[in-house]
Amino acid sequence: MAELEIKGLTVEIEGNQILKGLDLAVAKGETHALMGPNGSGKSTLAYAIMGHPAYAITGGAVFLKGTDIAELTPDERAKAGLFLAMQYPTEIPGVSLTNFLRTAVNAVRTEDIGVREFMTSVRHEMSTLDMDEVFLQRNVNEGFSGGEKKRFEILQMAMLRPEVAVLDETDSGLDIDALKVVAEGVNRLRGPDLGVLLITHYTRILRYITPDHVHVMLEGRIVSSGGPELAEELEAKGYEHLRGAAA
Amino acid sequence: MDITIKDLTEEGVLALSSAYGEPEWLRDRRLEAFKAFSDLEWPHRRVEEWRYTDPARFDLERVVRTDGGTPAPRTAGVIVAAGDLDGSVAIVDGEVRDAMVCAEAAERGVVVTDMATAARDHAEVVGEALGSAAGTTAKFDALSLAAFTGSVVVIVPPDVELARPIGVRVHATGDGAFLPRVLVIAGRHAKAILYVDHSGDGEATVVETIEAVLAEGAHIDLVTAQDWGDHVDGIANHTGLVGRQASYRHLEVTLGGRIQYVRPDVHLVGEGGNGELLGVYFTDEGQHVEHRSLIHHDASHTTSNTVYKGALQGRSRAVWYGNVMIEAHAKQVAADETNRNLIMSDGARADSIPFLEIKTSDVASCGHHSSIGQVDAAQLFYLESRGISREEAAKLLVFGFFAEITDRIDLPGVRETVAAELEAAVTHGPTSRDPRRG
Repeated sequence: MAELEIKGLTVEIEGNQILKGLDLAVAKGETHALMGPNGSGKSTLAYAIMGHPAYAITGGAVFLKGTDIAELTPDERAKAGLFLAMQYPTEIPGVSLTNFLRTAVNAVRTEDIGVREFMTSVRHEMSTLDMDEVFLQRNVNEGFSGGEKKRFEILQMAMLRPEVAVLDETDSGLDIDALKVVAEGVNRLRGPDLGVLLITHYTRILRYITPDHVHVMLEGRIVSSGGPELAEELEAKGYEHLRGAAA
Repeated sequence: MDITIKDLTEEGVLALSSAYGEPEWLRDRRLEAFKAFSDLEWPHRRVEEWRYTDPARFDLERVVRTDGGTPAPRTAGVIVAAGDLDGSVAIVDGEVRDAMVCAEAAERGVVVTDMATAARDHAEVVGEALGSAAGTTAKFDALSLAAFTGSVVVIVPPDVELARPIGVRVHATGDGAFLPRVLVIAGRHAKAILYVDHSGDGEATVVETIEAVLAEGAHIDLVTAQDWGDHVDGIANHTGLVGRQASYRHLEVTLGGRIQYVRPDVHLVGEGGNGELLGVYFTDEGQHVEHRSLIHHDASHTTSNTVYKGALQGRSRAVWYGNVMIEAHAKQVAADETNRNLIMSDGARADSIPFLEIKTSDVASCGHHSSIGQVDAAQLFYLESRGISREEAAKLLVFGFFAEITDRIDLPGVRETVAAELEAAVTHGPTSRDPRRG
């Protein structure tokens, strides 16, 4: 059974249909890259999976560990093992990173985690992501650079230990050094207990995170699936040659 | 003879003065104020000051009382959280009790006592300060000085710096009208922290005046925290009179009560004086709260910074009106005022009116900021996507909203108290606005 299974999913935003019958399955231990040009519906998929209220599922279903999650609120989805690293993480003034992380960890993890253990764990994860501890005193994403925001997304992923992680354009806006740090962070978290859906526009990040499967999305559907070689083909030929398949 | 605010007479004023055993000069001061009071018309909602809060909603026929009931022990609030105090006193309904000054502070001349005693023992300094900040030009200010009931005076002599707060507990336990005054006199370069904590739930109308009079170079932190039950209606004037190079920081915390009309004013009358006016308010079902500040720059090089933030839930109403007035002779003034409101449920309504009255062109800087908004949907989703429930996420965002103010307060017990009060007060998540769950 796939950890995350999407069947015939159609999604609308304000009455416009963006996803038009999308099928995708991510099993534990697998890393899938979902590629596609701007406007193909990649981020819509990410938000719909996480339960963003603006994205209405009008057909099909998303199953997490065999359960239809349509009726679950975003926090219930997170508790069920889902994580979304956002393309544009939201700034939250007045809420410190420490307070936020601790609240989230306590909400998601079933076992209670003491303050000491929590701080040790955060500090450890931060050091592996090259994040200075001063961030612990700062407010969530407030005044963070693009790279700092993405590192913080991966830090949250490390702390929340999801079973399925959707990474929405985590590579966008990163210089090469930051990209390497973020990719290393993701690689460290990969393992037999985690399924990853890596959404990206460019093949660049796939040099650092090798996917097991690659899918190409155009106009709200997956038009092509294959192994890592598909990414190389895209690198060489671009998305245009797949346009015919989407029609 | 029953004394009421509505039908206050000279005999009533004399009876109050005699009930408290006041010296003659204080009685005469009451009579002067009574004259001013008699000459002023009752305010009505057609005047600007009362446009948003109808004065007719206050019951002025309740009996003015000089006795005091038995207050419930206070287990929360700034004074409880503060720990050790340098001095304390309680105003229970119409009565002053339990005045205390720690030995060390008493030795240095610090006074915490009832008005009549202070008027006898420190006639000159009290006589000069009493009414100097609040005045008698508005009806309720004149009323307060004419007919005050149990009132206290705090004197911090020149060059005395107190490390621990002085706590004034104001209780409204019984039914009636109470008119407490608190007069704080800070001598040259004196430094002190004052907490005034309000609690109780009598069927009461409370007309209160708190005056802080700061001599040159004095520094006063004043926290007025109001957590009345919902039977208490209040009209309050909390005013600072700030001398040369003096610094006045006031935090107004308004949580309880039914109808509350609060004037957190400051008069910056000495060159280089500074006023920092902070406020936190939280309204719920059935409450009407108005804060109406006058930030009066009456001398050159004075500075002020005003930040008031409120969250509204249930069918409630909050009004904030902030008037920065800069006199023609006050040069190079820097002033900034901000008011932000967070609407948490459909029936809540906020009005935010910043106002600038600048009579000079020689201003260093002057700004105002105002907003009324809801909990941010993107922030809410971000928190929810991390497993935090909508209710918990809303709480985090409300605390975050107030952090701009609570982070600025480094006084003992204040931040914790405000956080705890908000924790108890936030009962509605913004559920009615979730498009998914209707």
